[in-house]
Amino acid sequence: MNLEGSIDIVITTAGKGVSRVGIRSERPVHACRILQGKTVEEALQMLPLIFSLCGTAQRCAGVRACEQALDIREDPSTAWRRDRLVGIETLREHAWRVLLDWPLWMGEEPHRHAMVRLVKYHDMLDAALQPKESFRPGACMQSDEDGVEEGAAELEGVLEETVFGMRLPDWLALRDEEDLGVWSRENTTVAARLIAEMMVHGWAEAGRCDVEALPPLESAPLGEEMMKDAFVERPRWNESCRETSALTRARSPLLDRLRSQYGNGLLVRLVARLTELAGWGTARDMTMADTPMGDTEAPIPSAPNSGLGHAEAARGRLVHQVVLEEGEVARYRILAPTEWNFHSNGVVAQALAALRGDGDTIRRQAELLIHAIDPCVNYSLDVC
Amino acid sequence: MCIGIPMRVIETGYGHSLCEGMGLRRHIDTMLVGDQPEGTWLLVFQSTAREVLEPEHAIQISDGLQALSLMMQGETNVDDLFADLAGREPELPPFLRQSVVKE
Repeated sequence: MNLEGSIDIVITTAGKGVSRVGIRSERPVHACRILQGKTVEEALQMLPLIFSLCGTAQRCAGVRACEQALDIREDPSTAWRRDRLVGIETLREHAWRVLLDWPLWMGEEPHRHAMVRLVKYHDMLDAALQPKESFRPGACMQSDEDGVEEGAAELEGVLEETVFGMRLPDWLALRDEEDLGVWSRENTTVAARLIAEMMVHGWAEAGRCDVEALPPLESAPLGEEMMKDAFVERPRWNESCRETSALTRARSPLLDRLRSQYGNGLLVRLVARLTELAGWGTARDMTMADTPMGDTEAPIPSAPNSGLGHAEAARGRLVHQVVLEEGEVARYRILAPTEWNFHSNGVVAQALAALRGDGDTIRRQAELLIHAIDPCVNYSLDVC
Repeated sequence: MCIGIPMRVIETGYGHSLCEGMGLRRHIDTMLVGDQPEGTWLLVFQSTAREVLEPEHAIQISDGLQALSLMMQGETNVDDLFADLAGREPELPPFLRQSVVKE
């Protein structure tokens, strides 16, 4: 059995457009049932073993759900630390795409040396933030900056050198398409050159569609919905498919301007990934940490001994639900961003359906769009 | 679902190694972790090695995934694959351990 899961995507073209998009997902969305019958301690230890890639986000959502079920209020300094840990995991995942995958689309070798350096400093910063202690239920972390500043400074340096070609705060201060164009032409990093190519080809609006962002999920109906298998398999909110991703949560003057011009088109998605990368890359002081990206309200649980926990994972909002009975996990559910985004009628399906051009153009744009929204599993793409 | 597979190097190559784990045998990109000697455990995602794993950690992940695989096939008795977790000291603070002790 394929534990890793996969997604198969088929685009049927007609003339210069797309007549049909089929998305079939074989992801083990109920894998979390392995946690049922376990104690809270056991479940939280098992989470990063089963879900080892986005393990930090999974642990964060898991401990928050368990704390709610145990009626433990999350300590603010611990919440800050947990959000930072998830944030640098997101940074690592975005950097993976930008340094290893974007060069491939440019016909170049992946920038492995830069990625090795980044992972080294990511691991340094991760260790300094003390994940083992931070993800204990009821953790109350003392403010401890030992090692944090050094790791963060080194990370920022790698990003400035290999991705942005300039200071990260200056990049985040870019105002509009003109500023972006100047940056893309004057810098030689792969990120700048890919953005330049999108602008030259006129692909800024490719895949634009009307799927709305997933709103804050602080209301009790979320807990009720997550009790239904069909919801975690194919989620919809207020009878609509929704998106949760870097695009729906990142903010900057440049992004706001691009959104107003191109909606959720391809260029906006690529810039959103860079915006998050720059944002978490400059998160060295409490000011930045006090303005975490994404939903900051803790969801209200729906029943006693139950809890909801969320984390803004690299690919979007991650929600865990736990129900406890006599100290054991009676029920565990995970709602992952990929189920929202790769719903058969969701944002990926609609974005691909909106593509225009010849077959090669549609294929290339499709690959970039799928990659930008990022399914977290192997996928196949067939354009016919 | 963010599931990485522990795989062990059975044939070291330059930039790629032949690895096996969880019933799979694949050529894995090892450029990020460097060339590793035979027997080294790697965490693999989308045919790329993401990190080197300590053997104990690799076995814990493998056992967890094996339990998951059995569960997905309908098997219910998989606790022996988590025996090391059951024997660990609880990590809840004392005042919470009392409130969740099974009666």
